Amino acid sequence: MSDPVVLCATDSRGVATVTLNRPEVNNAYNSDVIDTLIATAGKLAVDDAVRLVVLRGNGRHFQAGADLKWLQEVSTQSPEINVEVSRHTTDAVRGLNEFPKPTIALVHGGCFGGGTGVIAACDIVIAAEDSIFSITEARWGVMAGPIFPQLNARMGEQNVRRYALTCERFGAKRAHEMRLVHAVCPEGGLDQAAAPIIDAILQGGPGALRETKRLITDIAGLAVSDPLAEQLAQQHAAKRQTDEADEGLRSFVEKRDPAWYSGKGASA
Amino acid sequence: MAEAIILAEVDDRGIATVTLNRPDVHNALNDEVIGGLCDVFDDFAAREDLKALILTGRGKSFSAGADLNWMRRAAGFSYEENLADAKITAGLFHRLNTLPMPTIAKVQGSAFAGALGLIACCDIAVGAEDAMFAVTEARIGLIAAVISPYLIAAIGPGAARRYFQTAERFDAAEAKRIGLLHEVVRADGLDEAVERILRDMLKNAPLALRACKTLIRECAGPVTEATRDDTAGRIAGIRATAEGQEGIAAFFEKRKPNWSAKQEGSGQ
Repeated sequence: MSDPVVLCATDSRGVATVTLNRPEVNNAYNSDVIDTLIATAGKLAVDDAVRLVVLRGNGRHFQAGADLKWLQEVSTQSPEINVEVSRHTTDAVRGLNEFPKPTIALVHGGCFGGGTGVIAACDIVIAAEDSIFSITEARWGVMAGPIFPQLNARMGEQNVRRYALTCERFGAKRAHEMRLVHAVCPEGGLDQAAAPIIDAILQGGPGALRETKRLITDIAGLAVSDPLAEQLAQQHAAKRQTDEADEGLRSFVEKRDPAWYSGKGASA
Repeated sequence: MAEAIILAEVDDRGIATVTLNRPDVHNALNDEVIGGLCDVFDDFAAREDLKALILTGRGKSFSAGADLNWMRRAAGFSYEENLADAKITAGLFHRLNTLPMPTIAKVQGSAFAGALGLIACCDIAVGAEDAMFAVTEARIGLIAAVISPYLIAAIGPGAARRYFQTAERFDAAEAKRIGLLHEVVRADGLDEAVERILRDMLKNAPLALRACKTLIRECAGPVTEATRDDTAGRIAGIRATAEGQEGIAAFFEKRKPNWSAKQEGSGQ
């Protein structure tokens, strides 16, 4: 039997650690990961022994975004299946964003595509100096729809307009400047950096924290409404089934430039 | 005769200075201080000759936030009394936020909890480099409710999700990074820094400044009466909970509240 794609353990203080566990594909997400994350979050939300949740990745990278091979397979299936997959993706990020207890993301290595949305949906993000970020979807002819509400709220739309349109990579320092991450620590220092923050949360009244988080969500308008979620899922699914996405995802699998790019240095 | 708990003066340039004057209790806010500030702000709001208003504190701290003796009294109130009380507090922040002339918070020392609301309600905030800050409410089982619309507008939802929930202390440099302070200077350079800003501001047309201020506020999304009532309701509700009572009791009995007992000797 293969390893579970998501690991979950809760210590005696009530600190639950959820670990993405597909290191062989840099923790890229597929249906299995998304559905397991939704189920895990559901359990942790109602478990009174759990005070806060730490999210991290096993292996060299935090999260490489969507598993593009899986995404290509999905794109060849019916529109209904595509919408269903996108609904789950939207719900996973939305559920994390509105999770009723404090959440902390610990980032190392790569954090790409959907991974940036996952951390933007957490309350606190600590990144090791070696972290690299990129909102990569457009590079492959697909769209990052379900994570835009969280990215806009966290980085400010002026930064999302740059980085979602360029798909440029940026480092931990730049991520800190743009407020995508709250703190940067030395490589390998995530646990040490997280310890005082976890302790600080444990000193807060659990009920007060729940109310506080709900209040911030309400005041800042962070919750994604049902109609918006459905719209994001529909757009996300429809874009995946265009010719452009087909070409983009193929270019990834075939390790070549997509048709719309004539190569570095080329001019009209 | 006891000294006034609030000092209010106007110089010959039309610059008003309002000083919290309870240095022996770190300028903690109670019903008397809040009522006094409301009166002063009402008086000054009606004066068309005023060019700017400076809010500062005397002594080591800018303000330690709510006076817990007052909070303890309030916790014994009925919900209705609590709500009336919280609405008065919400009214203070509303008054400061909507003062017609430019306002500058001169943060000469540390500021905690509700005091961060005072800073966030000012147009400009300059702080001494050794000042410390924290949103401490959750530590005693309460929430930063009536200040949250202003504070979240200043620091953004990302920083709010961290600091509201951890109640960590952060320094003036971090306060500047997240947008609570515009400028950080040495404590002995604070007067000069504020004076420099005033010199620039006094060059500008007074009515234009007043119009700018209204414009910015309305374009940035108004805080409605419904928001104020909502936030007042939330603090009034949570003060009366068992957890709120426990937190305040623990504070006075100099012991850990019952929700942090589990931490001792456990964990990793």
